[in-house]
Amino acid sequence: MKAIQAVTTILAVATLFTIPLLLDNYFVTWLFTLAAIYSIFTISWGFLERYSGRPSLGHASALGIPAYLAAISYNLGFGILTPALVSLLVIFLLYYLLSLKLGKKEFIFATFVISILLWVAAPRLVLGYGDTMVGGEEGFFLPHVPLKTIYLLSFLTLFITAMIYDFLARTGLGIKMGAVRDDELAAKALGVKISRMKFFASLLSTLTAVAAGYLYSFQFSHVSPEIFSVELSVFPLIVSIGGLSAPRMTFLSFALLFAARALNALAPQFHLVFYAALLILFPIFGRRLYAQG
Amino acid sequence: MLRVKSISKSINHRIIVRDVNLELDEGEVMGIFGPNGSGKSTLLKVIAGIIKPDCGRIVFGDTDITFLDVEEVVEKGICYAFQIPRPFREMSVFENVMVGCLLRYSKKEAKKRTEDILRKLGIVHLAERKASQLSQGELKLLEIAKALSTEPAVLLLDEPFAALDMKNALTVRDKVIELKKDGYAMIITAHRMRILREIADTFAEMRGGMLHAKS
Repeated sequence: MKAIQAVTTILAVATLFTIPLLLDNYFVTWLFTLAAIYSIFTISWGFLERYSGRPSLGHASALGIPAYLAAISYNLGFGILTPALVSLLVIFLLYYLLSLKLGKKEFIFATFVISILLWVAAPRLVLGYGDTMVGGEEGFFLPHVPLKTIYLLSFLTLFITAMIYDFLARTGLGIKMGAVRDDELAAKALGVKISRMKFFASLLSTLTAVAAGYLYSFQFSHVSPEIFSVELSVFPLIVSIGGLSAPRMTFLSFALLFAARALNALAPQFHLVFYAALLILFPIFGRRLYAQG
Repeated sequence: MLRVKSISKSINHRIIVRDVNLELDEGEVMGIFGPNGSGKSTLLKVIAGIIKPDCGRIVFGDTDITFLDVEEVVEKGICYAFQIPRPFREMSVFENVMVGCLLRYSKKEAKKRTEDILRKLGIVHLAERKASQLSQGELKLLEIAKALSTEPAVLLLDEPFAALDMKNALTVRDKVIELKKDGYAMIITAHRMRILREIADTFAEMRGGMLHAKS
């Protein structure tokens, strides 16, 4: 069964990779690249959820921090490699310490609050040099990178992360991490070092999120406060509820995504209620839905 | 082998375990019985390192394990099986047991060792089943299997026969008797002395947090 899952993953990524090459259309390539980046982002969330039992409801911050740091560093005339290392360190420490200190429900709320704070703070971030001001609501621009390059890098990253994600479940480390996800105390009572397992889960999630953040910002050559939005934060959660093989769960996923979009368009004042409901209901039903998937 | 000296534990200003002393030799099985809330589970959890005592000492072999973390106590050779089974629900029975084996062996050897444990407890046919799909009796056996995966010298079985019908209780009892024959030292708790009679070498009654030896 697990071998079938691995083969399916390889085939899915290979198919998604091939279609833009065959069609050779700018929009199709752009769309598939974005799909690949969202997939990497979701896998990053999955590393935390599947391997440490800590679902984040503010994972947009893991996407936005590297993107913003890269943009600020570029606008200040520095390189883009240092911000990658800094964001790796910041996000890793954030996830690792929060997962060590907080229970599942507290972790969900803490990540949600952090993401909201960043969403609120980002528009206030303005850089001025001479008589030029950048940042604020408009966000920051980044150098243009050819779409084909982003496309190739995105699929290469997606392929590697998807393989690691699937392969890890079959390793001894993955089994021990799964035990921590299901029941920390029971895992401890068998001698599993909880902090070590959470270290690996946080590290894998962070590495993947930073890669997704960089690819995302360079695909648009621009980063704005919307990268910290609630919508982006709940995206991996909704996708993971549905995207786990059972057809009815896939329909549920589409329904939830559609409902989120529709609420945002029709009654923007109420769409946060939808996310609040998810925030409350996911800790209660999330794992059951995930298990069914 | 295991010496518990004057252990006390209070929770929320209520004394749960009061000045308990006990000794367990190699291969010895001690049965502790007593009503609900008498402190049996708390005592086992204190020995296992899951709960820290307020005072007293626990010595295993020549090592003072009183304030060691539960992972370190397991490493020393004492493992606790929960009263209400705590399986890794999304994992198969095989993976559940393999977790403990992986901490001690390579993956190949851990697989072999897991199979042996499942066979010993008569649940090898459940190997591929998800833990969330097991019955209460099967969960009790899985809980013991998980504890065995740590290769303990002392097994702490917290009410292994509780919440089971007669048939399942007898199945679990027979497996525990086999473990005794294999030479495991055990402390087993139960509500009543009767079910422990055929297993334990020594008995003690727990009442109001105090342990009284019984013949």
